[in-house]
Amino acid sequence: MSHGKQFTLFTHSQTPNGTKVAIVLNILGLSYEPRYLNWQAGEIKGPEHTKYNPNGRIPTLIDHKNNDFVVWESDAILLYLVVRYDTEHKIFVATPDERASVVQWLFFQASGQGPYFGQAAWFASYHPEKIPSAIERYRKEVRRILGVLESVLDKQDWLVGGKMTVADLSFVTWNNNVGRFFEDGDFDFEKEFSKTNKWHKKMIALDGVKAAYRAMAEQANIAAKAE
Amino acid sequence: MSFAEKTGLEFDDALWNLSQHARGLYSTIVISEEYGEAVTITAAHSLAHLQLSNMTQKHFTLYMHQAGPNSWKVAFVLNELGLEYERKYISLAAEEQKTPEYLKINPNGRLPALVDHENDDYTVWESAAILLYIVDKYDKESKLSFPADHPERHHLYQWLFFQMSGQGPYMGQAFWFIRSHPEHIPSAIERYKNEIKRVVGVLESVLSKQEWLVGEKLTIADISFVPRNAALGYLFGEDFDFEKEFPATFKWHAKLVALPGIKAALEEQSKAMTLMNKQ
Repeated sequence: MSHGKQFTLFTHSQTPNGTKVAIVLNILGLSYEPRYLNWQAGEIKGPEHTKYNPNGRIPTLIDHKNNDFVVWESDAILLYLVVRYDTEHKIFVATPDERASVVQWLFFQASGQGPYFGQAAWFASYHPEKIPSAIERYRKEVRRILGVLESVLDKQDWLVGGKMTVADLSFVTWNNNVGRFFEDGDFDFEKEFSKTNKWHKKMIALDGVKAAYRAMAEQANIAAKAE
Repeated sequence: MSFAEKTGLEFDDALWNLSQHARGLYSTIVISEEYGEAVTITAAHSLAHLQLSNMTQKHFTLYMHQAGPNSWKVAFVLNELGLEYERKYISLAAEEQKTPEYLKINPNGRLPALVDHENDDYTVWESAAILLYIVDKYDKESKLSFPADHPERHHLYQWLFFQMSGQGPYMGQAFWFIRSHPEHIPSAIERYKNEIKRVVGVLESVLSKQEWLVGEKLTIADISFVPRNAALGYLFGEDFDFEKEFPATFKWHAKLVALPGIKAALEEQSKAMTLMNKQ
């Protein structure tokens, strides 16, 4: 890896979890080289990636300023970045109990939001057959998760410590995709979950977030032209 | 005088009676097997009380479900570290987890949740987050973990996130489409079964080269995989030969379930399931 950047990030041009990491790298001003893996060509589960990440899913991060330390699982990567590099606590917190809360919300994002939103996407757009009852199941769960966030954000602006942290940021990329799981007009984020929508909009306007989406869009363009 | 001598009831039967009366309500009952003196049970129309004397509050309250793989994960670690906790079973059948009282504890309305009575009733939910909270505060010798400033801490997080997001939910979906979904959808069942096999394969690829997942020692990362792996036989049925298909993972799993704290919790789970199924 002779690109000179601090990190290599194995990712994909259409990924909520990879983009989540790019966002945090951007906000913390950390340099990284994205390695966009081609899903159709089997690169994500191929040996060049699985030698770093036996699970063969993106993202995977390598820290060249730390002996090529490898970490995978997007929220574990987020914790790695803030623990090691967010010394000013720009998007992190200081006390053990507050950190435990950040970790709790990250696990809720990783196990409660991500996989269920992912299944909603899968049955809406990718499953070989259209199964209304499965699509309905996951749409219902998407609404339930957003309802949980709404119940909390109704009373406070941010999830932990009265300020934006990686806990809040971790929800952005999957929340940004929600519209795709529903038929046109069937889902109104603003109307159904106004506090969550407000919180989401505040984060989506951040420079680091916009830059991450721009980079993905550029890559998607490149990939489309190459086909 | 024992409970049975005083009341003429076996403790388990009394527990059952109590749960019947409390069904459908948020139970503020604290039930403990540690009783010294006389025990009285009164059941009114809307509330049941179990009055105990000589009862001291345990270090933790663990809100859990008898059949919950994530609940027992926490019990394993509390047992292994010799920490005392009150088990509070929340009834999913009665939708107790969605009551306002429980949602105050866990806005997500799922189990488990842990309340630490020696830390101002600090509350934490999401089973892996609970495990980390427990070891960070109470596993000072790092018997089952790596401290926050240790390099391997990040690999500990990594494997915990893999269990929580990569194993748990997919196994959950597999069982949903097999047992609970209103229609039988072979393609959905197939999808999740394949993914679980793939996940066990990932564990196999790693455990065939090393004994433990993180830092060459037993940690909460290894323990976190136990409940779901214990259910692989149920998922795949008779044709599945765990030992033959995934020998390294099988060996590791067998070592884990033999640990005294885990073994004790698995036995407790079995008892609790039997009691619950008497409904």
